[in-house]
Order: sequence, then C-alpha cells, then structure tokens
Amino acid sequence: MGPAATHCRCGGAARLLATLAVAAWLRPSGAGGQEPFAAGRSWEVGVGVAGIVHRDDVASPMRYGGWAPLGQVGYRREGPSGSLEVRAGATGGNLTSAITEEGLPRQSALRGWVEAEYLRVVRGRSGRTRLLAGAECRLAASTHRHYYADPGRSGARFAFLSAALAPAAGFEHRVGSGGVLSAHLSVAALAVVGRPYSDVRLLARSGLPVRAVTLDGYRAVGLAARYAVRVGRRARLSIGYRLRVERLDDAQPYRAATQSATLAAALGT
Amino acid sequence: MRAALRRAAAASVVLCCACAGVAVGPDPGTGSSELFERVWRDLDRHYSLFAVRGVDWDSLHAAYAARAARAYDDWILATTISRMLAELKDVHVNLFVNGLVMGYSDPRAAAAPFDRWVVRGTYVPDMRVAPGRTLEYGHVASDVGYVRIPSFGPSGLADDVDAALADLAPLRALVVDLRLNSGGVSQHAVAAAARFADRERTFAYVRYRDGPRRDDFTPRSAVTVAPAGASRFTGPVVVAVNRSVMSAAEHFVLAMDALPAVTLVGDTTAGALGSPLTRELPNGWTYRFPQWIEYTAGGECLEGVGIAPDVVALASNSELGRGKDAVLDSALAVALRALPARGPAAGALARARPPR
Repeated sequence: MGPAATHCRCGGAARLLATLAVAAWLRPSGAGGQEPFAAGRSWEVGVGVAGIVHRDDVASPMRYGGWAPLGQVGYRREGPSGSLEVRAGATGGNLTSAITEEGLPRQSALRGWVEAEYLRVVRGRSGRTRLLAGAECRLAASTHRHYYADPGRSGARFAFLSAALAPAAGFEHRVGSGGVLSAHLSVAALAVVGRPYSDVRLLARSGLPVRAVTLDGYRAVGLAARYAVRVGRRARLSIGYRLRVERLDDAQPYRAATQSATLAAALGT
Repeated sequence: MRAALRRAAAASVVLCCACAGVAVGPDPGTGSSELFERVWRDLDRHYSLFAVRGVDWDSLHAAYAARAARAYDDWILATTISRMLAELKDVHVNLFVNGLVMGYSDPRAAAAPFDRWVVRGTYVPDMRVAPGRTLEYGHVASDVGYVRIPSFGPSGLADDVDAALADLAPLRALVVDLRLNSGGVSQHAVAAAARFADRERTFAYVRYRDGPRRDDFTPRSAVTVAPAGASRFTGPVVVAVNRSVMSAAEHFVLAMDALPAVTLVGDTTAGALGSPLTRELPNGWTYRFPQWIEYTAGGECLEGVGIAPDVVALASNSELGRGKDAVLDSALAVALRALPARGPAAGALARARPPR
C-alpha cells in the first residue's frame, strides 16, 4: 500500500469544504459609495530573499535547506470590485543538510513559478477593510542537482513540476492615506504534478510523466502578506512575505516549504 | 488598530518561519533497521536488474532484515547491508562507508592479467602521455598506433584522443587497449568512439526503470555513435579487452563493435553495463545501483555475460613475467592482417578543417 493510501481521504475533502465555506461566508456586500482602494493597473518588480526547505525522497531522505536570492515581476489590475494579479518569479541557491560536511552532500536548487490570482471583493467594498475571495492558478517548476559525498563525487538532477488551481481568500486594510496591508491565503484544490520517476535523465527517454493528483496525494498552501505604500501619484513600494508549503505523498514523496521576503516597486496608473 | 495589525503581522511571520521546517518534517532516524529498510526499499523501487540477475529481492529482505536489526555497531550493519547487496553479483551495486567501497567484487576481473610496463617496455617503446593526461599512446609497429585508455572518467578524454590521433599520423592501423579500464562516464566513452565512426550508427538500446514495479521500464531507446572530433580514424582498429573491462568501457566496446573496421581481441568483458545512480543515507553513507538495462544493437542483454571478443586471446601472468603479452601479440597480428596493401588507408585519418 502506497503512502498516499495511508492518509485519511476525509482530510483533503475537509480542507476543500472549509475553503468553500470561507468563500461562502465572505458573500458580496453589494455596498457602493466611496472607493478607498484606488482602481488602476501597475507593473511591479521585486527582489528579495527566499528560505527554501525541502525533502525530495528520490534524491535523499534528508531535509535540505538554505537561503537564496529571489526576483519577481508582476502585473496587477485593481478595481473597486476586485483585483487580478499575475506574478512570475525565480529563486535559486545552494542547500545543505544535517550531514553536509565540507560542502558535500549539497543541492543546487532552482525554482520558478508563474501564478495568477483573481479575487473579488465580497465584503467591505466601501470601508477601509475589505475581504476578498477568488482563485489562484499556479504553475511551478523546481529542479535541483544533488551532489553526493560518495568517492566518485557523483551528481544527479531531479525535478518536480506542479500546476494547481486553488480557492483563495484575501484580507486588505487601508492604513493611513496611501498604505494597504493585505494577506492572502490559498489552498490547492485541483492539481497535476509532473515528475521523472528518478533523475531527469529519464526525461529524454520517456518524457515527463504528468498525472492528476488528489487532495490526499498533493497538498499545497500559500500564504502571503504585504504592506504597500504610495510614493507619489503613480508609484508604490511594498514589502511582502510569502510562505508556500507543498507536499506530495506517493511512491516518490516530495515536501517543500519556501518562505520569502521581498521589496518591490510598482509603477502604474 | 494600526499597532494591533503590525503586531499580528509580525507574529504571523514569526509563526510561519517556525512552521516552514515543521511542514517538511524532521530528518529520518539513523537506527540500524531504518537504514537497512531505506537501502532495501530504494533498490526495490529503482534497481533495474532483478530479473536479469535472477535474484528474489523479497527473500533477501527476509534473510537480512533481522540481522540488520541486531547490528549493534556501524561496522556490523555495513557488513550486513553490503552482503545483501553482494547477493546481486553486480559490481555496480556498492555501499560506501567512510571511503571504503563495499559490495560484490568480480574475481575474474581482479585476476585479469595485464602489465602496462610490459606494453611500454616490449611493445611500445615510444609511449607518451597525451596533453590532458587521460591516455597514453605510441607505435606498436612502424605504421600501427597504440592508444591505451585507462578510464573514461576524465572529461578531457575526447580531446586527448584527437591529440593522439593527430600525433600518430600517418597511421594504417590502430590498437586501442582498454584492459584495466573499469569505466567512467558513458558520454565520454561515446565521445571517444565517435573519433572512429564512419557514420551515425545505433550500437545499443537502453531501458530505464521508471516505476515502483520491478518490471516497470521505459520503452527501448536507441543509443548512437556519430562521427565527431578534430581528428578521426576510420581505418582498421583492434580493441584489446579482457574481464577487467566494465561499465562505460563496455559502452565504448559496444560502440566500437558497431563500426565495420573494428575487431575485438582478448577475453570477454565483465558484463556490468548498468548505469549506476547514487543515493545517501541519513548517517552519511552512500550507495549506488544501476537503473537501466542496456541491450546490444541486436537486442541481446549482456549484463552478467559480457561482450565476447572476435578473436580470443588470453594473457597469463607467467608470460607477462617474461615480457610477453599474448593479447597484444594477437591484436598486432590482427591489425597487420587488416592493413591496406600500401600507403595509409584511403580516407583513414580525416582531419577536420579548422574553423575560419
């Protein structure tokens, strides 16, 4: 019996129901009036640092972690009734484990992602605080080369790809005259994952095996918090924090948690 | 309100930082049974040659798991695991413990006679080392070259083959000596063979293990060799082999054997063609095992069997002690028989044009 089968099936369903319940509770208020959240479009560039912790059971039973630089770009369209945000980013660096000595074993990791989040205001359209609900679509790729501490100093590259659709909920609060504090939460409900059975050499032989996974087999949660302030009429600066946890439980278990802090500048209308 | 939000945000970030590691979980334990099970399960899911080697992997678990559980120190555990791995009789399955290589050792490979000093002293007096120090070469007769490739590990090997061929020219025949070559990197082996290829040829097929069932494999995919390199020699080539030739060196032998002007002389090779991949344990030990099956162009699996030579010649330690290398004698005889009537073989040494 595979590891996925050992998990209670009701766990994933409960999470999905909880997410849907939150979305239902945050029903549209229908209130009109003043618009403290300015409408417009903006382009954003950000840099930051990411803390990566993961365990790819095919490469090693050990947990590998480290800090890495991060870069991201984004497009945001915001209006009184909701927001659409598209982001792309990448991070990469060297990861070590508890058995690393003199640089071996280690992993050289690279991650990239593209995500689109659409949220509609469901409460507080006219106030300083508003609640939003919607969905996030995320495509992410992670690859790491593992350098083993064997006599031959051998290495192998591994990969993990995922595409997930996740219900999302958001909270935004206007602070002062131009600041906005926001927090978003998403929980994957539908996902497909792609992963070579072993190292990436198999990609050339059999392609990338892509398969849909159940909520029991794959879980992903994203949490983001951001504080943005207006700088002049068209610019905005923001600091953000993101935590993303994903976990695949099957014959090739994979777990990862990535948290990042970013400083971003946005220009727009 | 603003202060409360800031405090909540700060607390959330601290909480999330703490949770990131928790989400991934702690490192696994290093108990004897945990380490043993990790190795057994990993091979169960990824080793490619259970059927070829005729081993009942489940029965080995039954035989060794209890012994591993009773192991009261690292050495006993390492010995137990390595004995289980040795039951596969596969030189590519090893446990590495503190620099020590444990596992199966083919006694026929260890006993394969070869003495490079006899070659150097009796047969190739002008032996020299290639610029990248990955091989040595000279003349075994006036117009017959000799190249000894001790390993396919170094990355500069193909360049050294180019340099050797250029330096030995004009050549009418060549002996490539692979004895004591225990492998290296398959790509380097194919790159070296490409210096002797007349056109692209399929010389092998491989299937990778790609699923948890022991008969889960990718479809066969062709492995080819195609002409490449600054210098190429397409005249008669004799490849000297014996039981010590294994792994990537056998990959090279298969590639060369697919070429029309190549003759294999010596003894059957080791029959260890699997491409190993490495894994690690939570206590820092590493281990490796093959994850593919390689077939000849004719569809034959030579794992555990070896590649048979076209001309059998067996060296002996007693003869080597007297300065005589029977394999090299046979290789030279075959090369001389294959020589063109006069002058260099037409188009034998093709030198690539330098870039403009």
